[in-house]
Formats: sequence, structure tokens, C-alpha cells
Amino acid sequence: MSDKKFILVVDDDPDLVESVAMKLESEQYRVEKAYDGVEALEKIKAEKPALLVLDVMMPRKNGYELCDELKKDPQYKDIIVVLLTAVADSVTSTSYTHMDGKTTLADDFIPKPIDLDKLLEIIKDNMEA
Amino acid sequence: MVENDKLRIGGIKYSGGIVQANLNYTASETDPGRLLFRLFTVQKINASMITHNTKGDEIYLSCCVSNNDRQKIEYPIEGYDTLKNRIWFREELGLLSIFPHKSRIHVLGYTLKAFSNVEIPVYAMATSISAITFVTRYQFMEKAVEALKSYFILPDHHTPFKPEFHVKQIQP
Repeated sequence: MSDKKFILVVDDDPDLVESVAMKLESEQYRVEKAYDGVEALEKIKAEKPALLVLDVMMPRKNGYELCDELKKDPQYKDIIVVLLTAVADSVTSTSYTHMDGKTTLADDFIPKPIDLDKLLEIIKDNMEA
Repeated sequence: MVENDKLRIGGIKYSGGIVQANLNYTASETDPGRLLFRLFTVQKINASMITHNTKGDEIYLSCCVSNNDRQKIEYPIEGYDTLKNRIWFREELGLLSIFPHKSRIHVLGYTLKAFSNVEIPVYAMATSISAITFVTRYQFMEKAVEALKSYFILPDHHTPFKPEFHVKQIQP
């Protein structure tokens, strides 16, 4: 197994997953991809990542649910979780808001649209902390 | 196709029902395409896919929008001579995306073969950094997914093919 740090990128937008993965791979991280919370959990069980880049709004199991599930599990609570918060305050037609995000146990946040350099900075800060 | 020859992909997903708004014009005209996009902005219409083709002076523009947004285009264009009677709609369509394509030409070839086997029409296609997306009849979405399973291997815990929610901006 490679000694590169392993990051799981989870989002239901394949283009976002691909662009984040490409950026992280260019920085010598090892990246796996998942497209919703259920698929992510299966991949986490198969191999525990050091860090999770996790979207909030996804089918089957959303990012908040997965994050809380992981943070309450002794086996997975040390996985660093960076939440992608796509839902702006102006979107009031869903039950998801930034406020909900702030009450999760995630380690960090980045708003969408993502600044990849900023995301990388956040990842490096958390990995080295 | 034997299992070993199938391509492993990350997933397939399809959209809700869409209509394709089509507009033909010539390069010498005052750009009706720009007017259409301005209308989309004012009406807060998301275009899930846009294709733009040119042949000589002729320009062919197609925009896929949700079924629910059709009226938001139809009514206002009555007031614009440059758009009125020139937009035509192809109805009851959907977008089917396969991802990631990883620039593998086989993804395109296998998909067209799969669709051809069961006579599924393709009205437009486009690629992005990850996905290759086809516009076809919405009624054929499940049939298309089944046909694709003969050529592609999906993850064990594949995310649902059909969207479970839709986010819409309701304020600026």
C-alpha cells in the first residue's frame, strides 16, 4: 500500500469530484471517490481515509448524517471531515442551511463554489495539525 | 458482452424530465442567443445542458431546461420578435450521464452500441471533465440504464440513478 495520505472525496456532482481529485492527486495525495453517503461509508469501511471531503446535499445519506455517524463511532471519529456547504442562505426551499452545518461535528468547512487552492490549504492545515 | 470486457465506471445518473429549446439563426443577425440567455437570467432558469454548433454562417443552439421552466420561456418570448416563432421545443426528454469517462473512447462507443441495440435515440451529447451526457427520450431512461449494464460495471453500492431532490434558487 502507498504511503501517500488517503483522502476520500464525496459529492453527487461527478465533475466536482473529478476536479477535486485531480487537484489532490497533483499534490501527491491518494484519492478515492464516492457519489453519495452510502457509497462513501462502504468505501470508508473498506479503507479508512485520513480525511474526508464531504458534500452536504447528497442522495440516500447526506453529508451531515454521515459526518455525525463517523464522529460518534470510536473507530472512525479521528477521520478529518471537511464539509462542502453548497446551500446558500438564499435557498430556503430545503431543510439544509449553513446553520445546520455549523452544528455538525465536522472539522472544517468550505463554501461552494470551491476555490481549489483554498480547499488544499484547509486540507494541508488539518492534515498537519 | 463477457464480464471481463466490460468497463468499470463510477456511475450513471439521469435527470428529471426536460425540454430542449432549440434556436437556429445566422451569425449576421442580432444575436438572439444572447437574448435567450438574458431571458434565462431574468427568469432564473437553469440550463442543465447547452450545445452550440456552427455551420458556415448558421448557428444552432440548444438548451435543456426543466419541464417546469418551459412556460417561463414561452410566455416572455411572445414579446421578442427575434425569438418569437424561432424557438422550437423537443419535449419529454431527459439527460443521462455516465461518469467518469476518463477520456476513454470506449465509453462513447459502448454507450452508442448499447443504445443502438435497443433503439434509443440520441438528440445531443456533450462531455465535461468527468461525465459524458446524452439527451434522449425520458421514457427510455430505465431501458437505457439496463442496456448500459451490458457494457459497464457499476459500483456495488451505486448511488440512485434517478435524482432524489432538486435545489432551486428562489431569491437572488
